[in-house]
Amino acid sequence: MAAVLDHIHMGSANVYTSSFKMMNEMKIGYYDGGFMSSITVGHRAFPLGGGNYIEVEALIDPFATTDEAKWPWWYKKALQAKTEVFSGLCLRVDTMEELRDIAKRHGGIVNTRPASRIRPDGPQVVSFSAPGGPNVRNPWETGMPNWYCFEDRLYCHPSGQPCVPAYGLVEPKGVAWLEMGGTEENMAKWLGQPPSTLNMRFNGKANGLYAIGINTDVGVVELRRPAATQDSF
Amino acid sequence: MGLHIDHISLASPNIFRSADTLRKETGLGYWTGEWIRDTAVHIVPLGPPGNFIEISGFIDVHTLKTMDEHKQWIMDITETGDHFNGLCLGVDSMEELEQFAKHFKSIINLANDPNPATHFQRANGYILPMASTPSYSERSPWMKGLPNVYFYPDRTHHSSGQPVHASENMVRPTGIKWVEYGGTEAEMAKWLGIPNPGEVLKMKFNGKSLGLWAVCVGAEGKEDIVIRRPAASDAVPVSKYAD
Repeated sequence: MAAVLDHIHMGSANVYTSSFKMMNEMKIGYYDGGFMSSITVGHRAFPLGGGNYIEVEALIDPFATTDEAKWPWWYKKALQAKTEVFSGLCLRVDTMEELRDIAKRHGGIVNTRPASRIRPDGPQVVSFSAPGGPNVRNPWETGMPNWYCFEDRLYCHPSGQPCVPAYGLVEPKGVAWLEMGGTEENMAKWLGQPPSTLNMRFNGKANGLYAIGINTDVGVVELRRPAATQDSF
Repeated sequence: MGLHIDHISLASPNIFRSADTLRKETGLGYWTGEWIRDTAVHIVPLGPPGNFIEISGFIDVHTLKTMDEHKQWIMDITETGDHFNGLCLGVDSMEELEQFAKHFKSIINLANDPNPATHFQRANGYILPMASTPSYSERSPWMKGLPNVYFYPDRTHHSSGQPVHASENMVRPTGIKWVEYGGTEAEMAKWLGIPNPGEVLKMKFNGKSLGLWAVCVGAEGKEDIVIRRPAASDAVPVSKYAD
């Protein structure tokens, strides 16, 4: 089965200000997703409908992050851009078998450490991703998507969690389109499926995500931010 | 209510981890999303008549490249983990707050101060109006191990009454039973200008350095919960901030 869009990762300098600003801009709600098991990163999620969501992340621990060399690349880019940046496009497959096949096709493996986050209500959110391994450069840094599998845990998927009650919010109904850098031909080769199946448009700039359109009950809402792959902003 | 304990500040190196740890330790839930500039709080409601712990810490790491005295104090007291760094009292009227401002020889931080940098904001944008004393323009009494005083013109959105993230094995808190404080009752009486703070504020004094050392919270159908953390003065002596 073809992969579907799962989520979009955005790097930020401050998850609180970024998520509040984005909520006011899009009129789409968000919730506190807790913190990554690495303890250094805080998380906010915007459910978009259709099994999609945006995650916004920033460093939140001043002591665990004193070595700037260890700061995540997307955090440095957000500081450089002075705004949140689109830093990852994440697809989803149903089974670990499909994930392993994708990893193999890209000359890598399924990342041995799952992505793991501790929600404010306690449980861990666990998913596996690919491609990884020593022979594969992080796809996010090249502006290309990677793939995830939640195994049998879709029932508590981040796109299905309740948001903070706020006035004037719209109802999101899934991602309408993605504005990508690069070319359709290269993306099709990377994906192994037509980019049109993911509603991708191409602007010819450097690889990466530049904007998303979100269907809502009042029409399409657009969110535009720099792609983290840019050298300068 | 008269003079009472409103809330307690627990300074943390990582508010996400500290709130998760406290919940596992006590079964007390918390809510999230309130922040001001580079600092955020996770709120642990403690029950009636409206008490809570705010677990506070920096969440905008990059801004720490520019330090000031207060930021450095927070860094110094959290370097070795969580420390109780503030006791926040409450009164029922502006008149009572004005009396405290007069006693402190200070002024009131107004509830409707137009400067947004003075307000904590919740995840949905709501700002809870609160007035307090002594003035924010002065060195915080917290740095000297002493409480400040608040008044809420409208308590209907009080932080202690907001829903927490639901979790397994939660307990329902029934309010603060006592707090353990450093110093002596005489020192506290002098600071607050009242004769019997121990009785009024359910304070026990342990003679250690000034500041809060423990809080006991009632729990419905369970044994009382005692949360014990070192006072900020254990990490940085209050003498450093003596006038």
